[in-house]
Amino acid sequence: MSLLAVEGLTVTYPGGQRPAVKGVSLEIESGRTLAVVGESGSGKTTLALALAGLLDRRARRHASRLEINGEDLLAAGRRRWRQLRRTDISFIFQSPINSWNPTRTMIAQVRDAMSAAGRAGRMPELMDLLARVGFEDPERRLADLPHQLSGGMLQRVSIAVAVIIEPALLIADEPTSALDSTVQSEILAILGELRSEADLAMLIISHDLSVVARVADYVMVLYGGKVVEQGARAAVLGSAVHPYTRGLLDSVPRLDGDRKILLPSMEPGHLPASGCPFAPRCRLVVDECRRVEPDLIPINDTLAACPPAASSALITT
Amino acid sequence: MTQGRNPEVTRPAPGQSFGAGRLARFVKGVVWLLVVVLVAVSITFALSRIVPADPARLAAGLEAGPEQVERVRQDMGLDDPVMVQYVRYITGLVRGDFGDSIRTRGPILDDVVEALPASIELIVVSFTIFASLGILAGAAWAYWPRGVHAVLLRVVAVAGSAVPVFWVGLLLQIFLAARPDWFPLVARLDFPVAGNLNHQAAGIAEVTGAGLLDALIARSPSAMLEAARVLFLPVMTIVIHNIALTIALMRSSLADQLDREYVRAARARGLSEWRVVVVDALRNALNPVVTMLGLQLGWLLGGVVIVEVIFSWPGIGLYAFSSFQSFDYNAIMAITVLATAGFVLVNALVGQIYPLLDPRIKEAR
Repeated sequence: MSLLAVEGLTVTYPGGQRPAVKGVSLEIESGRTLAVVGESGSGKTTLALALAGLLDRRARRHASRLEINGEDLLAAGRRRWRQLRRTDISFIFQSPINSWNPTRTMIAQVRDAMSAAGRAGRMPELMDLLARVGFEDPERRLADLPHQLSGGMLQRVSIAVAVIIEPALLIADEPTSALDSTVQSEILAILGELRSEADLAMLIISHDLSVVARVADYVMVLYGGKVVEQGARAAVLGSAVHPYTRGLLDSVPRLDGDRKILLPSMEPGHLPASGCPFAPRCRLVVDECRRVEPDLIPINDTLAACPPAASSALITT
Repeated sequence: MTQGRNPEVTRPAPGQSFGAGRLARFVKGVVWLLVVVLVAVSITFALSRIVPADPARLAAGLEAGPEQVERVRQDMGLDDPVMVQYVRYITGLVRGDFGDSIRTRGPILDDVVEALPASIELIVVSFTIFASLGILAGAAWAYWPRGVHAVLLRVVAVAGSAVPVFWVGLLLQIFLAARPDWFPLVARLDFPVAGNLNHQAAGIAEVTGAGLLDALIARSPSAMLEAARVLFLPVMTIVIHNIALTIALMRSSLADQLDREYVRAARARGLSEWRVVVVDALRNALNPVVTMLGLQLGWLLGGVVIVEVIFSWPGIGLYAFSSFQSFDYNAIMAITVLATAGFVLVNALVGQIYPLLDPRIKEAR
């Protein structure tokens, strides 16, 4: 049984022309990692927040199914979501320095989190975990204010606090994008290790395909709030069919300098009112794309929302 | 305020003990205070000699002949060179001698000591009310941005700061003191007397001169009620005018903090709304509010003049007003010195509050 099961999730912000997230369905089993890929504005952060009950009060959320651990959360109130965040769902944010109150010491904030989760007595374990993930001398350094610690150090604390409650689901929103590349790979290694130890389900959000390639079991590509392609990691990264996914893959810098067709750059906020959101930038676009919003269909090894790709895939294979 | 705040945060800079740093800062503050006051005194002194009015003439009276005026001038030392007068005035100040009043004929220090408690009572009560209510209302508005209360608070925030103080005072007098006569129209007419409450009529001893405090010391509920009744209108006038800014700034400051990522991160860790909003966001949001409250309190030291005149409040403001009218230049200078020193002191105190709200400030020094 899936740990997290979502069907038809749509989130709308007031004043928004289109939903930030539209009709997203996904499932994650324990011990598996789903990576959500997309550019900024694709709705990936909104999706992550919705799955932790952290959406802005003004946001409107609809779904036909939203279950964690088999519990139906469609009607869950703020209280229930808070309880879930204390015991079952952990969240790691993109910017380590912005994840902590700048005017309070780390130890005070860590204690707050631990007592909120009902684990105030497990501080020694947290100290051990911190030392294990490379946070040296935690008893002394945690007395510092956030800005006295480096981004990598802060993110290690965020991860340790997220994992110590033994959550069933760990959501990480671009956990390494704000870090130096060396620190980035250390943090990814820590995340991967802790995840396989704790057998938790992980949802990682990233725009960085090298991160995705390292940690994901499944990949979901979002564009304009819609899933345009999804499948197993090898399938999506190896034989993607959607022109957007292909464009993303081709945009990855290569040492051999052999770059293929780059994505035409996007005019921000200019998503079409109807049809496929990617149509304006698409090289496979046909008239039908501008009229009908495509559904996900199986093409080769993945699910992709692109009928023209389906026909061209048939021709090339 | 925060649990488990580790004292290590305030680690001193290397090679300098924390106590010494604080002492040095204190000494620096005192020197700064003295310099500011000296400059203010000098400017006021210069102005009092430039103004085309003749204190000797005023002191001698309109009926006095030229010889009498000259004698008064010599008695008051006004025929000495200006620099001599300046040095004499400064040395007097150092000894705590503000000179004599032309109007009351007594030492100005005595007048001031008599008038001060009433003003302090008015300012402290008003400030406490508008600061605490303003912070609460502004915070509630930021947390619940929509609703009937939001509309009401918007009206208060705009109208309160737009309407002049004297207009608020007059309206309150008309609608709450004239008819219906729930509150006294003015504090007291038999000025100058100490205090703002008729202690004899209330049957309590005069200890501090501040009515509410004296009633509290005497443990007399009826006197406290009477003192509160006398205080009500002038306090309301100051509160209505000042609370608007407090509400508006508190609202925008807290709304800004609530939008920060660390608030969302704290919620993601399962913290209760109380912890997230009050312990984290509210404390950070108070920083600009404290700055403004300090300025408002400093402004009140001088701004209380209008309110005291409207309500015949027997404090330092009314004393200042009467002194201006009769060109009692010694009294005017004394009040200037006091108001300046008060302003600088308040700002120094505010400076001590910042590090409590934001430990990064302490460290930066």
